[in-house]
Amino acid sequence: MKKIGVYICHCGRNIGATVNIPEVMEEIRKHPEVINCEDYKYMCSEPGQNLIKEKIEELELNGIIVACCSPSLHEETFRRNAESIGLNRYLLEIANIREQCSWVHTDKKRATLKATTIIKSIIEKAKFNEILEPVKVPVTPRVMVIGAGIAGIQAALDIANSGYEVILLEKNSSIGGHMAQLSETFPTLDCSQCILTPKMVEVGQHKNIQLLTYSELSDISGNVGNFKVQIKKKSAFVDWEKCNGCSDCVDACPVGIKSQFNLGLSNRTAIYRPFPQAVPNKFVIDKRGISACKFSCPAGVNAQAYIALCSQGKFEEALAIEREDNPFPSVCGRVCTHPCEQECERGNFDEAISIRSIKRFIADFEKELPEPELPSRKKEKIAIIGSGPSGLSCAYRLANKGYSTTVFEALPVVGGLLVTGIPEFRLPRKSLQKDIDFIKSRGVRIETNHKIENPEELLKQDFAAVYIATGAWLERKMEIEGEELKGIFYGIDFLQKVNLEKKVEICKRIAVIGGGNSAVDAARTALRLNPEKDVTIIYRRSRMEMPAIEEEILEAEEEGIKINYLATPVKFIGKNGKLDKMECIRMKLGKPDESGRRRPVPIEDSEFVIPVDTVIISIGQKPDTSYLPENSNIKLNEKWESFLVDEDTFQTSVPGIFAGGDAVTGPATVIDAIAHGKEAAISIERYIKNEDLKAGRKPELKKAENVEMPDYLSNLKRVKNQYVQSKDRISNFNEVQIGLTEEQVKSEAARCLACGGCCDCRECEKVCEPDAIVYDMEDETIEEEVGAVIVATGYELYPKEKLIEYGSGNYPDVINGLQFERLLSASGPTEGEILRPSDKKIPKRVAFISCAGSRDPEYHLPYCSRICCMYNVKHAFLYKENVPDGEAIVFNIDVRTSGKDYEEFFTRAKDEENILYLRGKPSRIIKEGNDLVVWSVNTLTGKHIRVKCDLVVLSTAIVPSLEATELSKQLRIPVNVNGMFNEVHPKLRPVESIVPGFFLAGCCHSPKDIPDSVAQASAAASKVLEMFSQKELSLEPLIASVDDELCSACRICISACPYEAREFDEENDIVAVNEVLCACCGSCVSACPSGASQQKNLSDNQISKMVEVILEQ
Amino acid sequence: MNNKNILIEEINSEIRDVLLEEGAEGIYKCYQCGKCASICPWFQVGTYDFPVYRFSLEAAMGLVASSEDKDELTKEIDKIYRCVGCEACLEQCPHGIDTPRILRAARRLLVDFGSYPETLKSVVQKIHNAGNPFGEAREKRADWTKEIDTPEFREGMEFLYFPCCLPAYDTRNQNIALATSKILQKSGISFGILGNREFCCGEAIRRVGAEKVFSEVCNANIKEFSQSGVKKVLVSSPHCLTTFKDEYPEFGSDFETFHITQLLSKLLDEGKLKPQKEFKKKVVFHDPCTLGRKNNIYEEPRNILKNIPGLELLEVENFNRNLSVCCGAGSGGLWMEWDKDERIVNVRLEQLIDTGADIIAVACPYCLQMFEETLKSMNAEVQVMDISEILVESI
Repeated sequence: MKKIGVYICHCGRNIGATVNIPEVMEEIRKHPEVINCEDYKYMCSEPGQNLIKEKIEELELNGIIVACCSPSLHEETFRRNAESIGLNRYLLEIANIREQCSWVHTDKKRATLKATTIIKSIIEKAKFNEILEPVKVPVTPRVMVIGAGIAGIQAALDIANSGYEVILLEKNSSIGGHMAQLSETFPTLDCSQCILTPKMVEVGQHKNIQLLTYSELSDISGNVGNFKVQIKKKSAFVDWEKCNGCSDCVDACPVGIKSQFNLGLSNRTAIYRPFPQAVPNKFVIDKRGISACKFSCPAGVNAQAYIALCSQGKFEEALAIEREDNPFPSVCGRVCTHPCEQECERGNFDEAISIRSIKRFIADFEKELPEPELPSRKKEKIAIIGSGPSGLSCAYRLANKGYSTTVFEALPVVGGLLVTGIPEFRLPRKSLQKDIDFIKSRGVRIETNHKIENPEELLKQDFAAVYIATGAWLERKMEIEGEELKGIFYGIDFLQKVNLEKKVEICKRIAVIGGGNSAVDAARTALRLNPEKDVTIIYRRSRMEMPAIEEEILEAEEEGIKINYLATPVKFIGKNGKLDKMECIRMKLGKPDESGRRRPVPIEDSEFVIPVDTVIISIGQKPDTSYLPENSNIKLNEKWESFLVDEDTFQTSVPGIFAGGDAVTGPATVIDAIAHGKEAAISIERYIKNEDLKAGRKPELKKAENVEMPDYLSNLKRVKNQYVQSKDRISNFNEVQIGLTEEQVKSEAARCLACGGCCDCRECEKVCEPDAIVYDMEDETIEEEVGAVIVATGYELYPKEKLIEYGSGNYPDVINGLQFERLLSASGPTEGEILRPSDKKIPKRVAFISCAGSRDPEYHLPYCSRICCMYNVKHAFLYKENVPDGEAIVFNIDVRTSGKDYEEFFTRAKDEENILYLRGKPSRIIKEGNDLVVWSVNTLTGKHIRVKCDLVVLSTAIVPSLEATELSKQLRIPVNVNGMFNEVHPKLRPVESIVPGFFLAGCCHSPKDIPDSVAQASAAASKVLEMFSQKELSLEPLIASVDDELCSACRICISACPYEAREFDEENDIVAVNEVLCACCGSCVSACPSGASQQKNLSDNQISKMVEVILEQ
Repeated sequence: MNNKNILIEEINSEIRDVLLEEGAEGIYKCYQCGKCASICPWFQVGTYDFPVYRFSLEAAMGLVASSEDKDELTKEIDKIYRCVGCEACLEQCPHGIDTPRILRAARRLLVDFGSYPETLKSVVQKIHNAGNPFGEAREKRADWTKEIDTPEFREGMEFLYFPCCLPAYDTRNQNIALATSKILQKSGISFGILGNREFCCGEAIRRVGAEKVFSEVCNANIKEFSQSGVKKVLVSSPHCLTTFKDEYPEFGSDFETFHITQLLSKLLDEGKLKPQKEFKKKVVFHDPCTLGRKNNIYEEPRNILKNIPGLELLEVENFNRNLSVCCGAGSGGLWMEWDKDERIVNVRLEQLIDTGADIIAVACPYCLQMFEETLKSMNAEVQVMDISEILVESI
C-alpha cells in the first residue's frame, strides 16, 4: 500500500484565482491512499519545498504528487528536493493544473473539477510507480561541428582550445561560410576577411581539430554522449595530399561555370578553389554528370570538351578530343543530323550552341594531318566489308589499338553513301577525303573494287573477325501503276549516278517523292541539273513530320524548290512509254503510328493530276543481303531483310562476324553508323581477347541536370551560319554553307553552359606538377564517434526568382545583398569597384530595398531577417564612399538598429554621406531600356515615387540553408515552420536543441548578425564543455522494457522503434532493449500486440487506471 | 477628414465597429508599407494621389466616411468611390489586407445614409425595379435571341447560360451572347437560357455598398435557378462568375459556375471544337481583373487564342496576368465620371495599343464596354473584341 501525499500550489493567483483549491483538497483528502494533502501559495519557494520534505519524513510517504505548473518547469526542482532526503526521485509526480487547467479555463467550477480529476488520475499513476535508477552512460569527449562558417569555426576553436577533439564538417571545399564573402562588417567597418582569415588559419593548423571539408553527414546513430556518425567525403578528383595549391590547373581548364562564391557575378573554372585564402588551400573538380550533347550523341563524342577548348582557341586539342570517338569530324561537321543540338540545354533558354559548325571549323582548321602515334602492332587481322562511315569507324578504332585492318570495298571509290549518296554541295569531296586520309594514316588498309561474296570465308582465311557494314542500297518501290515508265528514277540510284558519273539526263518538270534527307538531296541535285528549275517535292505527311533536317528543307525552299505536303502519287501515266503525268491523292493525318508520327490517310475523291516528265522516288532503301550464299549461317531479320545482331555487341549469329550501320538498321544517320562501328570494334577486341562481349556495355550514365543560365552569358546570341546566295549556288555543285571564322567559333563556344561542369578534357592533368589529378576518384565514407553535435549550418538568401514584384530574378541589375558585398569586395569580380552587372558601368543612383521577402506572411516569409537594416546602412555608406557623386536611396518600412553602436552608425552614415531614406515599400521594378524604374510611394507625404535607378540591391530575406530540413530529419531534431532549428527554451536554454546532445549556433537557429552568431557559438561550446566535464551522464530510466514471458518474438517493435534501440536476441528468441539508445518515446509499447513491451512507470496498467478515473467524471 | 488635430479621444469607435461588422478585416495588421498605393491603377493615372494604405489605418480610427462637414464628406465619398475593386493591392499586400473590402464596408455605411453618388443611386434603383442596371423592361431580356435561336433552359440540360445584363441589353455587347450561343450550339453543348426569368447577378451594386438590393436580386435568382433545376451555370462575365461562385453560397445557393473561357478551352483541348478559318491578326489579351486576379483564370483565354490559326498572340510587357491593369469599370466604376485626365481606362488602353496589336481581346463585358466607349474618342485604329467573337469567326 502506497502512502501518498498531495501538495497543491496556488502559484499566486495563476492557479488560485481559477481553481477553488480548498474544494479540491477536500475531495482529494477523501482518497483512501492519500494520507496527507496540503496547499501553499508558492510551492516552489523554499518554505513550500520544506513543507514537502517535512511531510515525507514525518509520514514516511512513498508517493508524492505536486499539483502545480508544467513538469517542464519544476519537476526537476521537486524531484531534487525529494531526493535530498532520500526519497527516490521517480516516486514524485507532477499534476499539471496550470497550463492544462487554470490558464485555459475561465469557468471556476469546471476548472476546479478538472484540477481534481487531473490530480486523481496522477494518483493512479503514483500508486504503481516503482523505484528507478537513472541509466548511467560514459561520455565520448569529442564533438562534431556541422558547418564551418563563423559560428562553426568559433565553436570548434573554443572546444579545441579547451583540450577536446573536434571534427569540423563542411560541405564546401573551404571553411569560412558567408562571412568570407563579405567586404566590410557593420558597425565598425572592419574588413571581414581580415578578421576571419586568422581564425580560419587557426582551425586549419589546430592539433585538436580534424577538418573535413567537402564532406557531408550521411548517417548518425546512438544517443547523447555516444553517437556514431558516418561522414561522406565527396570525391574532389584531386589528391589533397599531393595538391600544393599552385593553381596551374586553373590556367589550363577551359571550362567556365558560374561562381557560387561570387553569386553568379563572374565565372570560374571547373577545377577550382572558392577563393584564394581558402582553408584548406586545395582544389576540387566540379563534376556534374554527362553534358546533354555528349549524352545524346550516338557515338558519345565529348562535345562539351571540344567546345570548351575552342572557346580558348585550343583547336588542335579540340580536334583530338573529337577524334577519340569519331574519325569523321570534317564529314560530321557538315552533314551530321546533330542530335546534340536538339538536346543542348542552352536551347531551353534561347538557342542551342551551333555545335556542328564548331566541329566543322576545327576539322577545317587543321592544315596538315598530325603525325600518327602508332601503337605496337598486334598479330590479329580484321576484315571489314564496306568503306562507309560505319566500316571505317570500326577499322579506325581497331587500327588505333594496333590491329591490322583491311577494308574491302566493292565500288571503285571509298566512303560508301558519303560519296555516292551525299551531293557535293553539302559535302565537298576534298572534305570527305581529308577524313579518309586521316583514317588511312592510322594504318587502315582499303581495297577498292573488291567485292566480298561470302563473309564466312574470310574467317577461314587468316582474319580473326569480320565486320559487315554494307549499308542499305536497295531502293523501295512505290508498287503502283506505271512505275516502269521511262523518266522514273530512284533517289540513291539517281544520286550515285550524278555523284560518280556526273551526267544524268533528266527533263524539265521534275517531281521528287519522299520527305527524307535523300529526297531533299535528290531534289536539290535535280535542280542543279535542270535549267528550267522546276522541281517539286511531294510528301505524304505535313511539314511537322518531315524527317529531313530543318536547315536542308529551308535551303531547298530558298533555292526555289516547291513542297507539296499531304499528297502521294497513285499512278504514273505515260505517253509513248515515257512518263507524262502523275496522278496524286490528297492525304490527311490520322492517329499516330509506331514511329509516333501521325499516319497519313487518303482523302476520298481528292485525286489530282500533275504534269511531270521526271520523277525521282526516294521513299527509302533496305539492306541488300542477296549476295550472301544460300548456305550462309548468318541470320537475317526477316521483316526488314537486314542483318540480325545482338543490340549491345553487334555480333551476328556467327561468332566472330559482326555487323552494323545501315545494313542492320536500314537507312539511318551517319553518326549512328559511326557509333555502330565504334561499338563493334569494342566487341571485336574483346572477342579476340576472349573476353565477355556483353559485360558493362551499357553503363548507366548520369546526365547533368538542373542546368542554369548565368546572367553573364544571357545576352550572347547564337551565331548565324552564312550560306552562298541562292542565285549563286543553284547552277553548280559548290558547297552551300560557309564555315565560321575563328572569332565566331570562339564566341559561339563561349555561349556553352558547361552543363557537365568538368568536361573531362584532361588539360589540368597535363599541367599538374605534383600529379594530383585523380579523374576516377570515388566518394569515401568514414565513421567517427562523438559525444555531442553542434549544428551550425547557416543560411541562404531567399531566391530573387520568388520576388515576382522585383523582376523574378530576370533583371541582371537587380541584385541581392551578398552580390553587392562581392561588388564591394577587393577580391570580388570587379576588384572592389562598383560596376553594375549588365554593362559594367558605375551606377549613379542605387536603390536599396528592405524587407525583400521578409515580414510578408501572405506571399513570402513572416519573420524579420534582422540583419538587413544594418547591412543596408553599411551598403549605402560604402557605395557613397566609392561613388561620391552617386545617390543612395534606401526604401524601408522601418529601420531596426537594435545592437551595440548600431543606431549611432545609422545616424552617422546618413548624415555624413547624405543617404536618402524613403519610407515605403516599392511594389514594382520596371525595366525601361537600361534603367530600372522603382515604383513606390512616400508614405509620409503620400506622394507617388517613380525613380530611375541604375542598380537595385534587394535585402532578400534570410532562409535556412538548403540542407537544414534534410539534416533535421537525419539528426531527428525539430525545426520550426520556417525551417529554423528549435531550441529547448526560447529564453533560458537558447543554444540547446530539444534532443539532448545536439547544440545550435548561428543562423541555422534564427537570423543573426556576426556578433550574435559568435556569441551563440561560444555559448554552445560552453554547453558542450559542461557535458564533457562529467565522467558519465545520467539518462532518464523511463525506458521501455520487455517481459520475456510475454514476448512472442514477433519483432514488430523493432520496426516501430525510431531510435534503433531494439535488437533481436537470437539465442533466447526474444527482443532486447538497448537502454542507452531508448529515447522513452513509447512507440514500441503501443506496437506490441502481446503487452510484453512496457514503459517503466508508465505501464499499460497505469495508463488504463488513469483513463478510468478521468472517464468516471 | 477635416483638418483639425485628431486627439486620441476622438477615435470614432462607433464607425470603426460598424466597419468591422461590415467586413473590414485585418485593418490592425497594416504596417503602412504603402505597396498597395504604388500598385494601384490610380498610381499610373498619376494625376490623383490615392494613398490606399491609409484606409486601413483610418478605418481603425473610425475616420472613414466620418466627416460631419458636408464639403469634406463629398470629397471623402469621391475618394471612397474611386476604388475599382481590381484587387491589385490585395495581390501584393504582405498581410493580405483586402482594401476593396474595407471600402465596401465604408460604402455600405454611405448607402445606408443615402450619401453616395447619384449615378450609382440610379443604377441601384434600376436593378431594384427592373432587374438590370439600364432600367430596360424585363420582358426584353431575351430579345437578343431573335437573331439566333437559342433554346430555353429546361430541367436536365447541362448548363444554364447566363449572359450578364450588358450582353442581354446593350447592342454592342449582344454580340458576345450571340457568338457564345453559336459556339455552344456548334459544339453540341446542352444548354439553355432563362431569359426574362433571371435578374442581374448584383455584383456591381454589392461592390457599391447596396447590400439590401443585392440580397433581393440574389435571393430571387437563387429561387429561380433552384426551381428551374439549374445545376451548372455558364457565364460570359467574370463578375457574374465570382458572385455566383463565391458569394451566392452565403445566401444558400447550390449550383456550380463556370466562365465561358474555361469551357471553351476544355472543348478545344478535347478536340470537340476545331477552329479552321485563319484569323490573321495580331491580338493582345487584356486580363480582366475579376477573371485573373480574382479567379486565377489566366491560361484558358490564352489557350483559346493560341488555338486559332493565323492569330498572333501578344502580351503587354510588365502588365499581364496578375499584373494586369484594370479597365476602370469595376465596383461601380463603369458608371462613374472622372475628369478626362483622371481615367484609368486611358492608361490601360495606351498600354494595350503600344503592343502594336490590331485587336484587343477581352473576356469580360465590362472591359469591352469601357474600351469601346473610350476608343470612340481616341482616334486609334485598334479594335476591341470579346474572345467569343474572335473564336466564332474561326469556326
